[in-house]
Amino acid sequence: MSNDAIVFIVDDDEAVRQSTAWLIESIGLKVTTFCCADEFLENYNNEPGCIVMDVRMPGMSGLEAQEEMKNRGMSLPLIFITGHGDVPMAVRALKRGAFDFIEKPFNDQLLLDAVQRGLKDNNEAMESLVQNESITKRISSLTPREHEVMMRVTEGKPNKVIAHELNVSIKTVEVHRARMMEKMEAGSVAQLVKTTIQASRNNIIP
Amino acid sequence: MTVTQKKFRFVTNRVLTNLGILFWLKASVFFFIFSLSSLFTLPLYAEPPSIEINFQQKAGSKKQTIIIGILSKAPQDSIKNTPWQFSFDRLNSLPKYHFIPRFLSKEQLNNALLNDELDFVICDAINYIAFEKKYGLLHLLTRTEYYAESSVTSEGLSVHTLSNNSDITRLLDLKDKNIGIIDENSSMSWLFLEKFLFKHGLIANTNITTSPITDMHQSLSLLKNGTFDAIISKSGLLKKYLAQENMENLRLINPRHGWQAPFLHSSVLIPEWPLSKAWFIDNQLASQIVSLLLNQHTDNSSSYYLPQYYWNIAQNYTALNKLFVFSDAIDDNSNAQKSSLTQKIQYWVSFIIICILVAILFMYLRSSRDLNNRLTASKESLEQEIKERQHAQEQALTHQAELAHVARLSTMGEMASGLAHELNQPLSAIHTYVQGCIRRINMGNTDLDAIVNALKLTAQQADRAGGIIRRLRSFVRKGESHKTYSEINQIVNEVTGFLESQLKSKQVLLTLDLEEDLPPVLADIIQIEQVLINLLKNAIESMFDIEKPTIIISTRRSDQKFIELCVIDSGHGISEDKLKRIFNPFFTTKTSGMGMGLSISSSIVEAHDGKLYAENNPQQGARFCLTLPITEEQPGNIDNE
Repeated sequence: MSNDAIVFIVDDDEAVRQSTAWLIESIGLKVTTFCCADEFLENYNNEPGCIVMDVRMPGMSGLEAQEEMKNRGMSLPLIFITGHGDVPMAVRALKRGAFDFIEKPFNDQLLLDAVQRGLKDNNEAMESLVQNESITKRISSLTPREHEVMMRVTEGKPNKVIAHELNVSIKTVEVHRARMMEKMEAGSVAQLVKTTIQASRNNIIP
Repeated sequence: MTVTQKKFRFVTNRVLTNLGILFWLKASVFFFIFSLSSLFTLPLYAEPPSIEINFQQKAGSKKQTIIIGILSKAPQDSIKNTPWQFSFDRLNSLPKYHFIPRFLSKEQLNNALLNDELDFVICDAINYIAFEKKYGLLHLLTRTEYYAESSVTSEGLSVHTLSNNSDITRLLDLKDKNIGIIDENSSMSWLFLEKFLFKHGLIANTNITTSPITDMHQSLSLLKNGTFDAIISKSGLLKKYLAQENMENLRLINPRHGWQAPFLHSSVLIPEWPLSKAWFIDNQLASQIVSLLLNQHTDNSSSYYLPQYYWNIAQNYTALNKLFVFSDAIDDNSNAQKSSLTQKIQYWVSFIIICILVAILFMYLRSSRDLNNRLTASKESLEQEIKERQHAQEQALTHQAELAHVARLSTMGEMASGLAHELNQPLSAIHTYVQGCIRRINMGNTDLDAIVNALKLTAQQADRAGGIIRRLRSFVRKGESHKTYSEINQIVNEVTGFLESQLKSKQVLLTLDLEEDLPPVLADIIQIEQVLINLLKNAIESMFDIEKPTIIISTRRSDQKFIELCVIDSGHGISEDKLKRIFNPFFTTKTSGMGMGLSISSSIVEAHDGKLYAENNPQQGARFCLTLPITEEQPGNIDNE
């Protein structure tokens, strides 16, 4: 878990805001508070962490802020807290990708757990993001012929079959294969397969 | 004070004033009538003559003097050679008394009787009737005259006319005739005749002309030359003086036949002169005199020169009395006719006036009694009505308060979720602060300053929650209208605090435009808060589909007397027809709701002598304003509960 992670608390009620901060700080997390969604959106600078946000606020409401963040491609876990939530509101929020939906007054453990999970999720998301970037970078460094060879290697085809399919000599295939393995930073075919699965899951390769 | 009470006072005052005026009117009318009637009736109720006991004074002398008043035309010094002589001789035969005659004219007789100077009175029957009433005389005996061996106890009057005069055949024909009167007692004769004619309705006034005739012999010629149509004289008088042939020219009107009369020709007969005693003469003396004089005739003596008067048992004067029933006094002889006539006129006039006055008084009393009854009745009904109105007003006030209370409860119900959220905030904060503290302590993080600070903030939040509950309780509190001197801006702040969550959840932007240093208003804070909450709720609900809803609450001094509070929204406004009915009970544009909110609000503001009105903004939305009168009291009296 990154130590840079910050819990963003957005609530118009100062008492609720400060007390929530007080609680979250008690487990040693960094907290930043905002009085409203607008202020948060203006000041957010791609820091990792999670958001604890009130649903009902003057100006931009919590749900509106959620929409706005989705538009901006922000992937911070969003934990809604509300004093008068109802099932439709919760369903709507969760369908749109909210991380959790907690009613006030909340059980402190519940909130803290949610925050922890959110941070962890964010952390993992950040890590996978980094990996994906690396994979994308590696795959994009491949020549088309090396890409073709990689696809066939991951399908478990031996060099002879690959040479036949590509209508090149076995020797040529061996050279492409060696370069491809090097570019993909894969020590073994198994490692390569793992990477390509991750890449295809993230739509990096078809 | 309510308007009705003012009215009541005014009406009551008027009624009382009316009654007062009535009383004085009545009193003055009574006084007026009393004085008038006393003016007329005073002679009737004149004090009786003062009583002097002459009798006892006289008892001191050796022989008691008894004075007998005798009616006489001319004063006489002595009874010598008079018809009375014999009677007095008889009387003076009594050992203890000395009887003295006093010859008096009628006026003198009246005065003497008035002063109780006379013990006995001898006068003609007609005058006696008057004196009897006036001085309490009692007749004892009746004078008797002897004519040709027969005694006569009646006097006769004869009315003669010329025998060829066919106009006068009855006494009643004497009306409007000229009549001559002969005789020393002419006044008496006339008096009787007048009474007689009056009694028969012949005369209401003196329309018979009379004049005295001095010379007996002249009478015939006066009749003949037409000066008189008839002549009245004592019976037998004309016969005595006139020659027989002259008498044949005369005709007696209404000839009467006195059975004891020596003369057959009388027109009317009246009893002879009575002897009467004064009121203070005791019966013993009276009976002595009666027995003495009754026996007089038996002692007929020839020693007397003139015919003498004798006495007989008292005649009945009742018939005569009836004739004189209206007469109270017989005045001066010479003015007898006129005075009696004047008396009559006076009497009748006063009688009629008194009758009229009595009638007026009666009518007035009746009408005033009716008026009084009506006034009393209307006063009672008015009082009853006022009582009922007061009662109704009190009831209406109670109902208004109850209705306002119910409306508050209803408002509270509608706002319950908002209030729950409102209360939830501090509770959440408290809970969270405390949990944070517990965690820190458990983890051994003993930054005491931080923990104490957090606990302070916790306490603040508890206060906040308590404040909400207190406000809630006072808002739903039931009870009498309780007016205090209040700052309108304070009410606005309180209410907006109350509705904060509500406003927030609906994303309403609230702007306060409050004028500072406003004078206080006398108001029931809870009720005015209720009105404001109602207006704000309406405003919020009217803007449910509006982009960026805003509400402006403004307070200002509208003029010298009123403070104006306006709630201005940015909703759709109100259509003209709805604007007219918006304060009517049960009028609503919402799908839920009773339609009582604005109606109750309006009645609350009116109960504060203010006004609640609605209008549309020029640009957008509606504006609800209420005015409250500024109170002159110093803000030192503000009672903020």
